[in-house]
Amino acid sequence: MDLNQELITTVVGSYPARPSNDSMARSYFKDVDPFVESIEEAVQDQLDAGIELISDGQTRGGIVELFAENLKGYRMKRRLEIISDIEYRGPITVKDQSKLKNSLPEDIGLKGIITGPWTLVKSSYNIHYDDTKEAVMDTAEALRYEAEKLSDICDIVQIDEPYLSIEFGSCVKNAIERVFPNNTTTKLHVCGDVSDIAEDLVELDVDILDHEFAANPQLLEIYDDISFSQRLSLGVVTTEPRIEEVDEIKHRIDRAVEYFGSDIFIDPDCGLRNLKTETAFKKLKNMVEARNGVLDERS
Amino acid sequence: MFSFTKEQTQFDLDGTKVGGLPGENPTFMFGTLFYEGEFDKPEDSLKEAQKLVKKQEEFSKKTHVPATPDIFIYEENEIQWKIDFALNNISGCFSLDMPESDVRIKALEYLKKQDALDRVIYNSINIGIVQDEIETLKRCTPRWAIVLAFNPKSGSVQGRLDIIKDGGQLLDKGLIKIAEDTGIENILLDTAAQPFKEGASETLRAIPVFKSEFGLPVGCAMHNTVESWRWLGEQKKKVFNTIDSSINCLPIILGGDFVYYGPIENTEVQLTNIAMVDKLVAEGAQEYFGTKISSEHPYHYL
Repeated sequence: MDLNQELITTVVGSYPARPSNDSMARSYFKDVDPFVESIEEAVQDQLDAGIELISDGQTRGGIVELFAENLKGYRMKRRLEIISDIEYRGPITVKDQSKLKNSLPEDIGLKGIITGPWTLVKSSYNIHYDDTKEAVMDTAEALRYEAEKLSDICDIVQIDEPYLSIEFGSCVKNAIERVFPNNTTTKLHVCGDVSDIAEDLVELDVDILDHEFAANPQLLEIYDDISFSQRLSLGVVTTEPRIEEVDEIKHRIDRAVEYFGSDIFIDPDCGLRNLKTETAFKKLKNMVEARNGVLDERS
Repeated sequence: MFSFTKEQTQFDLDGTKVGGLPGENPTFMFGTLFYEGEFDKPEDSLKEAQKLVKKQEEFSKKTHVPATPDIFIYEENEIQWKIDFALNNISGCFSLDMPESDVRIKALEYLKKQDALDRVIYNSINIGIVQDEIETLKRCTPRWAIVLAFNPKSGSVQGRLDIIKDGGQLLDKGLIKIAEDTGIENILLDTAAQPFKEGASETLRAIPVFKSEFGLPVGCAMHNTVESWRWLGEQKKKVFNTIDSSINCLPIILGGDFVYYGPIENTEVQLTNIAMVDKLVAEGAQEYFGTKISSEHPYHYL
């Protein structure tokens, strides 16, 4: 896919598709993967809505649990714990991405998504490392293997770091840059109000920064006031259940273009996992329609 | 070896107690009959199946390890002849293993018609349960039921605990509560054996956790882990059977109360093996924890 197009529509990652309980139960008795069904549903909905750069919908589990449970050193009890040296065990999302990429039309792009080392460590109770930084850097090193594999398959490798808007640790820059492969387009998604850390974020060696501009419109001013080299990916629909009208979304896109030009990405503020499927789909569809309206007017 | 401070519920399964503290009662064993295409045609299979059931009864008496068949029913057209077979050839209770919810519903209705719900261990109440099945269970309530702790989103003990306790965000309520609300009085918890790298060891670790948390009889079918181990499948049959037999000892060491041991054809080795482990656990529990060993336990006889 050509990533230099204007106003590319994309998603942050998660989508509310899930396999039926019946098919999940069947997978216990037969060697079948019930999540093939939910990935297909998430992908088809994105394609039907007109999204150009899609994800697999992250339907296999929560963004923290999916990665932590598949890295050596993390243990899920009542809480997530770090109990030994953190290492890469083997591919986590690679098989799904590879299968998906082979089935997509050439003009549709695919994002490989990794939950970042800072968020994984800060979501865990560390009972092994003396120094949190060590846990973060070991997690980054482990995730780097996954990122490298994804970079061979996907158009973009994205790291999700929701915890950054709560705390921006001194090791974050090194950790995130450690995960990202050199040979691919990279994106960092940080949700919440990033006003206080925007100046730190623009110092990171990443190609695209992605934030919740719909819920936090003040970020337009914040980013307008600082100098940065990254492209922006702007949330133009919220993750609230209310479905925004096309005109409302179009207004947000128009404002974004006023500030940053058309060399930006358009997406929802964050993952849509917690919405009903119908709601998530309508939000995406309206977003694409709004973007098309903006493009029409510009041409 | 384990003991538990949580009070342990014991159920009567045809005169044999299942559950309780480790070492208190012998392990209850279930051997699979009519698994995937085995004895497809009733007319060809009845004699052979009868022999296997009889052999299981004999070895159960000989070893003092209680056992009964776990009969697989896959399709609706198998319900009548397989249940009729069980009612005519098995002297006590039996387990019905039915992967599909629509088959489970029809089987419950047939069991009610045959007035046989008090002879059945319903296998299983699991994440695939549908509203029709819940309603049917309320009208046609089996005396015992297995609650299967399979959580497709997490193979961790916590994931398994969540699915039976509160639904694990996949169900509105936990499977135990769903079972209780239908009126089922005797619930056995299956920790849901998984293949290696998908939580195989967590299946075992869940046993003492579930016993501590719920005090209900707990068990599993570790045979499924062996069955899914492709490398082992390439080894000699004798090697495979030996490993298959040994893995079924592990749940008991961890405090388990029942075992689904795989093909009923392997009864002789499986029951003898379990008798040995039961004796070991009982001896240790009695000497260290002061556990009282039941009078029918193999500890007293072999």
